[in-house]
Amino acid sequence: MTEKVYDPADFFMPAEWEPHEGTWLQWPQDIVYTGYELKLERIWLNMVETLHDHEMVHLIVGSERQREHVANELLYHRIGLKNVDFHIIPTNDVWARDNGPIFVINNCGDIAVTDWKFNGWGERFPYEQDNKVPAAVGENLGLPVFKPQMVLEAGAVEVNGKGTFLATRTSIIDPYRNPGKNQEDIESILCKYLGVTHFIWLTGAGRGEVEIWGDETDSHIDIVARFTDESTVLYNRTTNLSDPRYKMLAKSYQELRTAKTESGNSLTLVPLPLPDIYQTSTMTDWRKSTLTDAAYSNYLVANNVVLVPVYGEKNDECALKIIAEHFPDRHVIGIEVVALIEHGGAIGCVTQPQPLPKKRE
Amino acid sequence: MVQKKPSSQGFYMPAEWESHEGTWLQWPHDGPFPDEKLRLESLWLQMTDALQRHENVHIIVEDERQGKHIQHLVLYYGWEESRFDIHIIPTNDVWVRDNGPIYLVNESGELAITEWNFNGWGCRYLFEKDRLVPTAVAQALSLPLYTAPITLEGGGLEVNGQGTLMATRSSIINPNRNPNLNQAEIEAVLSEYLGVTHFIWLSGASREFSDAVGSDTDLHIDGYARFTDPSTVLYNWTDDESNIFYPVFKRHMEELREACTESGRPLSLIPLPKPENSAYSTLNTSTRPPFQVAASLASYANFYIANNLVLVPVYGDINDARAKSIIAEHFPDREIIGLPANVLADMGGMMHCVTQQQPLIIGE
Repeated sequence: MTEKVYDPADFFMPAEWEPHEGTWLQWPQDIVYTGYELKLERIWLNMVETLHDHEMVHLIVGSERQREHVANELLYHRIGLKNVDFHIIPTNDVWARDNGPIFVINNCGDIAVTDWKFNGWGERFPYEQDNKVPAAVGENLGLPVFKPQMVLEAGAVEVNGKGTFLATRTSIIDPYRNPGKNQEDIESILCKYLGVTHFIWLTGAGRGEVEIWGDETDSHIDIVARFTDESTVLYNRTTNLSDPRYKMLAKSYQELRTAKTESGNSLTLVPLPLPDIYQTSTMTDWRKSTLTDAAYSNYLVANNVVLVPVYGEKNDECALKIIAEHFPDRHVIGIEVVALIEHGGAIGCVTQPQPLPKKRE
Repeated sequence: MVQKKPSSQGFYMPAEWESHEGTWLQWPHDGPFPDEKLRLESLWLQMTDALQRHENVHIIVEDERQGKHIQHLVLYYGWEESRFDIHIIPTNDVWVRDNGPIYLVNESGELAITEWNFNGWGCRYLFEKDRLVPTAVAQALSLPLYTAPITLEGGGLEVNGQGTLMATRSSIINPNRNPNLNQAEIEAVLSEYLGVTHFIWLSGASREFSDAVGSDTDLHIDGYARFTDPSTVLYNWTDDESNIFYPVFKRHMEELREACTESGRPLSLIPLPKPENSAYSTLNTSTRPPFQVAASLASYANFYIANNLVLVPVYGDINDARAKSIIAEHFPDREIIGLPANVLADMGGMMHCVTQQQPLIIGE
């Protein structure tokens, strides 16, 4: 018997709103600093609680001891263990979107893992363990693993599932991530492994600038703009001229206005407010700025639900409403993330969807 | 037998910044708010983590299951086991500042507990279980218990430890707590039971205003003005005249300017900013429009002073850093720890509302 050979070119990355098998989370551990786990745990419990009725929740934990602890917490809070599945895999941090596996599917009902290189957002943070997560997940699930020779974080990638790829140049075509590769080299790798055919590149903002507003990703697209369907994009907008993100976001909007989808259609553009300039509120000594890159666009679309980061802020309601209008058949659930945002991300950054494979006629 | 009044035994309520034996917490369980236990646990973990480094932590749990849960957490997080003291006492909610024991000390090195007929902030919430907490604690610790003949909550009073008590009229001299009692009668009870000799009364606000801003306490002093030493008061302030709280802040400021301490000294008054962008939004139970939004009660004044540290509620707001610096200037020898309190603020309180200090007895 010969093992089936898979060709990455047959696979593509579906849009986030297509049916999920589940979502992957990396449970916070006291690796980053003492107190990380107890500070963040409520947010993770909250995510499990809101997801597990609708899809699987795959939890990456650091040890058997932590697995037991998390199981205890889920039982204590009467969330239960339904659809919850544990994997003991060493990690550096919690950002499953960026270091985790990007799943791809084909038209024959197969699913595979793409294992992009992860280098801590351009060598900013430790990444040894995180970089090994996709291979470990592929092995645990017995899935084919493709290894593109390129650095990429899924938070930098937005696809409409029809062939269009939306990203900022600064977060991918970056000498700290992909030295020696030009846009063309990068596009050809993305075409091959994510099954995309058309590119919308925004300029973004990069190293030396983004740190001012507490971004360490060089403008990941998930804090700039998101597809809600094949041709509709919610884009972050601020009218506050003193928000340091103002210029980058205004430029992104201008670029989106002239962009087209793979089928040549213009995008329908819908503005999403930002929380007013947002401060780090507790400790985070490593931060170069007291600001955070808080945005509502860092949501997760899952089966029947959208998990939206909220901040106890006056724009929360408006953002929830706009997102709800674009996902009319889903429950829109605000999850308060003040303790998480000062570490550099929100709901979208700590979740990695696993699509449901399907056979197409 | 007629019980003697505590003040006749030399008992008085010390200021919060004096040395603590420990802090009491009521661990969150399913209370009046949706998913209360889950939404609040991380904050309780963070408070506990900070406090257990410097003083004992007395935790009130609802049942054995919750007690075991706490024991598991103590081991899991590697906390100092000897610092923990767990009591199973039924409660309605988490606001131990308001329903919990108020401790007194005297120069003979004795400790006592006062109990104040908690009635759910003027019968706004269930209170039958919470009301019994001081009695249960006094029994558990075998301490003398004095039951005062009036209703008030610990968050409704602020003392400087030298004889001055500061409070809002609306949260104490109010028919929803103390029908038929006038200010003089209430002051007499406060003097006898807390050992105070001098009063600073701020107006607070009407029931209509409290309801409009979602204050369930009729403006407890601990959200508006706090002593940081015997004659210095931090008070909430905003320059924004359109802010719904502006008239209240202004009146309080004017009243504080007229006030003096027990020794006749004027107060040093330091304005504390208000969080600017906070809004009541984190308790949304709706998953489709319309979503709730309202003014938030979020305040920096609701900080908690413990041994070697101050826990300050923060919100990710533009004023967080300034508020923390001001508080730090007034507590130069303590670590200032900001903890995100948005969810708790949406439930009606912050760090000070959910903590209750047990002073160290004099001589120890």
